[in-house]
Amino acid sequence: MQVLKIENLKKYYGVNANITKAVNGISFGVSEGEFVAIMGASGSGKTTLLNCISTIDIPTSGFITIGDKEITKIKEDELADFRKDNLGFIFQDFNLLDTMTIEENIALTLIINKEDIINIDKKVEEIAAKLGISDILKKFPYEVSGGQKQRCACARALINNPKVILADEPTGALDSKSSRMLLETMNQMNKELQATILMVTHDSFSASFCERVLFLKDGKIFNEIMKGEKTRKEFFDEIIDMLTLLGGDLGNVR
Amino acid sequence: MLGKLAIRNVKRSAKDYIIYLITIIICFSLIFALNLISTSDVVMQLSKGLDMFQYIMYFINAIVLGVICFLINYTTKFIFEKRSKEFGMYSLLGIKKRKINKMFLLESMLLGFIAFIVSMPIGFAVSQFLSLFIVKILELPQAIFIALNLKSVILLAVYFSLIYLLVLWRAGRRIKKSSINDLLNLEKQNEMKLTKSTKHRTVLFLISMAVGIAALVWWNVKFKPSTIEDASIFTVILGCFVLLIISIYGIMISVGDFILSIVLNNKKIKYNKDNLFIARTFSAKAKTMGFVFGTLSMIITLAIFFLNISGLNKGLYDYQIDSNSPFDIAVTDEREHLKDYLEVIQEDYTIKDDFIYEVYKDKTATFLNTAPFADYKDEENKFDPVVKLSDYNILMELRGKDTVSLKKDEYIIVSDLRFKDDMKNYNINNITLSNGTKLKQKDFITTGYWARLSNEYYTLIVPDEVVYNLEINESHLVVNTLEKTNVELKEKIKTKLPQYFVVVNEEGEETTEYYNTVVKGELIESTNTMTMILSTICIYMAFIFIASVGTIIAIQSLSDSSKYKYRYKVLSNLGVKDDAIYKIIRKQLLILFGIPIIYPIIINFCLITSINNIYKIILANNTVYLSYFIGSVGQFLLIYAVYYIATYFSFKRNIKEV
Repeated sequence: MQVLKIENLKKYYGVNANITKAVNGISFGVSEGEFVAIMGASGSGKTTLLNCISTIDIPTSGFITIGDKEITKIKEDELADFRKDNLGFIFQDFNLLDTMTIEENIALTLIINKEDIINIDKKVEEIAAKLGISDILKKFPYEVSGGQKQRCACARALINNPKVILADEPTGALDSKSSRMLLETMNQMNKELQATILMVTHDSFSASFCERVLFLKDGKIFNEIMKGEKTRKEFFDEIIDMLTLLGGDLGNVR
Repeated sequence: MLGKLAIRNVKRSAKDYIIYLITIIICFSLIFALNLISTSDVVMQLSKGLDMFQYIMYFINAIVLGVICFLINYTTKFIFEKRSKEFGMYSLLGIKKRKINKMFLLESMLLGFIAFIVSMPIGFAVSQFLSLFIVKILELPQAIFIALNLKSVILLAVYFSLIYLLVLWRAGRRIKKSSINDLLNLEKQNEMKLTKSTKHRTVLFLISMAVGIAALVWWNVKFKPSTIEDASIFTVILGCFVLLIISIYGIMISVGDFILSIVLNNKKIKYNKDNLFIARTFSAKAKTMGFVFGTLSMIITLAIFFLNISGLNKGLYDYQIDSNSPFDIAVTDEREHLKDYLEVIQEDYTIKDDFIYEVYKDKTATFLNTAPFADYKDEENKFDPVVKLSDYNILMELRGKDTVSLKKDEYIIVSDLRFKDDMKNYNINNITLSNGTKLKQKDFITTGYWARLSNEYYTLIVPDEVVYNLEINESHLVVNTLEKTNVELKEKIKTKLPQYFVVVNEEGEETTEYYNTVVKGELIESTNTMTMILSTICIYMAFIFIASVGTIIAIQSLSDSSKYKYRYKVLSNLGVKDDAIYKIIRKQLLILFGIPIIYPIIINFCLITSINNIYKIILANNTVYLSYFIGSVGQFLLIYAVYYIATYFSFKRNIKEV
């Protein structure tokens, strides 16, 4: 079953002669429990695409369906509720609130939407245990490492059981060891919790953890490769080859 | 949870907004203190003139509230923009805007509420301090206690709610209107840019300048003693103010670009030391902050204006005292009576100086005969008063003023400015005294004038040897005491020497008149309470105005310091030493603090110079207003400098933080 479906999505910026076609007719679908990466050079339209899916940006034309809801048709007022129930976010710069402990950060949405306190505690503990951050729950974001912060962000994204988790360069601010740990965590989220993850990344190493990689170029899908039965190493090499073919900025890629 | 979150956020932002918080605490404290005083029964019973104080205060508070409202609104908007990314995050996580709004309101209220609560005890303390001041000025016998009253608390609460209702309503609309994308990117946006092309701005600058000059010239033409009593003067004042407001906004909107185009078009200036960096940093501000700068400039203009009025008022008061009673005691009587006065004074006071001199009559009365009031005088009183040069010089020495010298055939005439202007028209230079001595006028001075010198509007000072054969009109005694005199001394003289106060009038009736004795303490006591009220109010408004301006610029700069930390990091990486960076910051802040004050200072200088056309006749001299002007600007800069220094140190701290 496809949990996210995108049809002929376009997003143009500017007017008349100065028009920028950031996303220019993209169609694809993501099935439930899939872990998909979107790759491409700077300016290829990755972030715009993600912004459209996350309802931050309004597309010029086309359709985005999450679950059974066509999100371009949802009213402004109901969007907040929709995001709360259906989407989870992981950002490059974590976006944790530094006035709150890790625990409170994870539970923030539930707390503000007034869920039952005992229930909240249970959920937070469960997720924290799975992501291996149980022992830092009482700490503040500035007291923990980048990798731990990002795992906290993952926990926050997971807590509502969202239909899709959108990750925007989640390893961008992490060192290679933390990156690897985070990606393994996300893989585990995907495998064990059946989380559907759509990740935008520059980094072919990150992408190699996914099952499918979409390559964007000038606002269009250039190609798509699947992991299938390949090992992660083989898949990594394949991604690199594809990027070479793409003529992308290799300097950024490796 | 919302409450807890709000408290935490307030705690966290406290460091950034400490200047703001302190300012609104001081503002609310002052409002509260003056409310306490103006509603206090004890104070109201002191003097009739104080009734008006209460009504004036309502009016003044309306103006002050307007300014505080601007300050709080601006700061709230500012905090909102700074936090917008966080709010965008909340929204993204699925929290409804209504809830985000509620949280932000709670936070702003909390910040305001802290100020409200803290300002009450501080305001109460300030009111006690002010009461001491009142006691001293009115020379009251005992201290007065200004009690807390419910009316003031309610009044403050009403003011507080009014401000916050307005500010928060606006903030609510702001959140409602902005999309997530706006929220996430708001921090990166500058304030609105008003005009686009540089050419338009130059034209705007020149037009605004012309409007300003026109207003000032109009004001100057109308502010003459001859035209001041016209009914149209209020139209003129109003018209000038409107034109000046237009001019201030126009200039402040365009001045940034105007200066920049000069700096950037001249390579010599542009590449001189750190000019380029500073100019470019400033240009980003100037282009977008024109309107805010305009408002700030207007508030500064008002602040300096109020300080000026307070200064002039004080000058008026000082001159009144000095021209009426430069000595602690002055008595006019027959010479043999004077020692009796001295004896009475000596009973309670230590005499520091005492001096007796005579006023002679010049029956030729050259000056009197040309004056319009000559006809009202009876034959016996038709004379010009004459004082010997040596006597006059001793009086001057006692007053700590410069002495004068005369040649044998010269005289000096001493009068106040009002009569100087009139008498100049008579064009009298050479006179012949009744004993036949011919004298020519050496000078017409106002510095040595005081009303009791000869009990006339003017006095001739002549060489000692020419007074022979002139009849003595009366003798004068002046005394300075070590202790400060008070009203009881006059009473004592009245009761101890009643025989000296009996005057026989034209109809031959005996009356008792006490005007021949002046005691400084009595004069000070009876001086208008309005002087005090006016000065207090002017200083109060000026202070709140300056504090508001200082706070807004401080907050602006400090948010820049954290927003553009990287700029200084880049400079540092490029090898610019810390000291040089601090110097750049100082210069930058100086420009930011300095630009809005230059035009207001020029405007105020022109305004007060024109006002002086009227005031000079009741002030000590023509140019004394300059000292009040400098004093006002000095007071302004003093408070302003505190904000500058506080901003500089916080700025430094902000860019040092990693």
